Amino acid sequence: MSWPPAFPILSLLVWAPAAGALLSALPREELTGLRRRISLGFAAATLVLAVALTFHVGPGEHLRELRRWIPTLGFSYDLSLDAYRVLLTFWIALLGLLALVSAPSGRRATLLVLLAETALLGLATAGDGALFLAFYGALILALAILLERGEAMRTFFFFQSAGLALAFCYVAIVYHLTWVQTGFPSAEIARFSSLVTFPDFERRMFLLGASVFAFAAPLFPFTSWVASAGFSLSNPGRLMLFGGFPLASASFFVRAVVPSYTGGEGALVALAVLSLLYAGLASRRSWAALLVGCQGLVALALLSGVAGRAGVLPMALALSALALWTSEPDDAPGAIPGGLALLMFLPTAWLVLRERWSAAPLTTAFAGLGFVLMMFHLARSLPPLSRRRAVLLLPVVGLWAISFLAPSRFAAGDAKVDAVQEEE
Amino acid sequence: MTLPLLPLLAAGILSTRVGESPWGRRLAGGVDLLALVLAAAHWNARDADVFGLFLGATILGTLVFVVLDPEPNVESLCRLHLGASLALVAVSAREIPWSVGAILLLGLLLRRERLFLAPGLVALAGLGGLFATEWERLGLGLLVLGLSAFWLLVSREVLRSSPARLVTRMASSFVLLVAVYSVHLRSGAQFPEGGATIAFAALTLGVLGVLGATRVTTFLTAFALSRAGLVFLALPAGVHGRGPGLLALAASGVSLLLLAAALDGIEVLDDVARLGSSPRRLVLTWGALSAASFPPFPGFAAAFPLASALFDRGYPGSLVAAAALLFLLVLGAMRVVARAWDSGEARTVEAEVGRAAIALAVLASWFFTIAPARLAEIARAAGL
Repeated sequence: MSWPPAFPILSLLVWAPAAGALLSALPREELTGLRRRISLGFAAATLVLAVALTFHVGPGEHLRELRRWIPTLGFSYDLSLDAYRVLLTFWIALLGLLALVSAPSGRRATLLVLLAETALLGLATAGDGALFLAFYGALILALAILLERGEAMRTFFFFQSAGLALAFCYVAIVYHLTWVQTGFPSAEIARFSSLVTFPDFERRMFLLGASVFAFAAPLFPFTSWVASAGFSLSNPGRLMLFGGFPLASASFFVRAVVPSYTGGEGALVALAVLSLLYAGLASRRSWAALLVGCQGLVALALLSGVAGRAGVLPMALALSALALWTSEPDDAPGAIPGGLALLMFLPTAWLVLRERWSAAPLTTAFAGLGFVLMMFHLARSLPPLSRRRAVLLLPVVGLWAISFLAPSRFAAGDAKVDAVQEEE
Repeated sequence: MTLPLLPLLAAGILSTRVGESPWGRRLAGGVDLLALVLAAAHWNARDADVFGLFLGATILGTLVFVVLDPEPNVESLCRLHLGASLALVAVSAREIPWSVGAILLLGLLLRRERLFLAPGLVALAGLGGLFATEWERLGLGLLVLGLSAFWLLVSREVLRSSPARLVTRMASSFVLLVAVYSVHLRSGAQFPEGGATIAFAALTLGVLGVLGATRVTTFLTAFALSRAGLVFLALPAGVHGRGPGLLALAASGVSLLLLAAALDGIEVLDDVARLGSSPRRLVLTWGALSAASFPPFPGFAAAFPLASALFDRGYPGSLVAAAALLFLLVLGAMRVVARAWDSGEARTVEAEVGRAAIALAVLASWFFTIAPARLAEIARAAGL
């Protein structure tokens, strides 16, 4: 399948949910059926587009849409997809649809879920630092308003805007360096790794990038917002928060920080191990402990080479499955036992811990201990899942199985630019 | 020369009996719009003063926004138009003495308070110093200090004590800010070291005010102060700071006017929780977060080149402090936004915000994501 070179397929993918959000806001509050049909229609259309792109973009290929935005300031409307990120967009599109299907929601929740989907798709595709931050800010705002309770909103927003402010500093510094070294301003993310800097400066920048991840992910101890957010959110919001939001910080880290990474990961590893231990030692099952533990594992994965980085998607899928599991406890006969959810965490954990073991056995042992304890708590407390919800779980499990093919999609190979749409 | 006359004509229309009718106000708005179109048409003229035209267009855009207010106070509107005419003189005059004179008159027109005398006299003394070579630096310092203090005092009085509607008050404060900024901008290349201190003081005071305010007028005054601080922070960056400075100024105008439109008719910030209208809460969210430079709202894009320009001129410490203050400003803005969207409150205040305000918000956002390239080019060309 191919598109005409000038066809803005990536824009269509990113903005389709936002268009659905605007249209679904038009019907009056009581026209619930019409609103639901509109929102589901747009979410489904986005998913179809994402599936088509998944088949279209293979390993070593990429698709790009580049337009002038603010050329004098060096900002461009730059969207791109490679073979791995196309899997992420597939998951985000599926997540948006699942969130809308999982429970009937009011006008406000429908609109915000679709806007959050657009922001997530934008984060996965943005190739310009300023555009990335714009989508990041939009995602934080959409999820904050989705929380509904003022106190939860403020706590969530405090931590996330701290992460965003640090991300802004990171991009602004690199923007300035690009201007100084090349003579023209640019916030293009791919350019970050080609800058000439001193090792000491690189370590500081890595620390700054790691702080962004620690605040946004979150890692222990920046976790105060998670418990109240998990409590305040209804099912669609919880799916977006736990299945989609962790991808934002990981995406920033993988694309902007890791390519220029030359060492100095000690602080991040320490926070990751602490997060896993916190999750393991937490006395009762709570969203805070679960999410923080999983993000600790993701942090270790991000530092563990290609196979580890590919584990980000399976972890997001496992968290989404848990969000489905715990949203509506149901012990009806024939329900699926909770232990199945645990299986989704194990392969990634095994891959990551095995890779880390040779480099740092002691910290890996602590991380492993935290992980085992976390799984033990989870196994004891997860309720069975009703059959109705199990239907929603099927696509998640299916994509989880497919996501283990992701490492092959990381292969750069001879990058073939399939379609570059430039409007000079 | 035509531009300052058109708001005078609009003021004339508003001061007659015709001006009290909606039709008369539309006519005055049409005159403002005509002036705005004229300013846009002059941009490509060979000898055009692009800085003056851009600042003039900002003032005229503000007037158009205020005239769209569905329930205006005609006397305040008339006064604002007279003030805008003086502000246009201040931004387009080629000699600084004319600009300073116009600004002082504008301040007196907006609020007649004896307190303004002191900063006015300081500004005039600074102006005198500019004419003597050996006193030039001191003169410039006094001028900057005097005009900044003048803006601060007048704006505070206008925003907190005026009987007019909030949008008109905010517009008056912003028009005065544009006029003061134009004088500061012209002193650009030799901007005194102390200028950055004034900008920081304004930003810090504003942020603290936004975080602690309980009354709407205090909140808006503090927001205006913090935005002014941010805009003035671009001045020490010299030529490279001019483009981002202009963007930040224009974004401030849009954001503060929208914020004032959303908060009009409310006394204390706690009442925000009882706003029933979703469009009004949306405009509030848009205005508050945009005024705090939160992405993806207008004002955010200017932060990158502004940061780079300050880096270049050797102000990395100032930059870190400004980033921290902006973070606090975002939290202050979110305090109100979270209250507006909190589902636990009964919605009893049903007043709507005008559809025109929402349309302008969308248009302004579009403008600030597409048009800045041209604005920055103009600013840089003028700087050279």
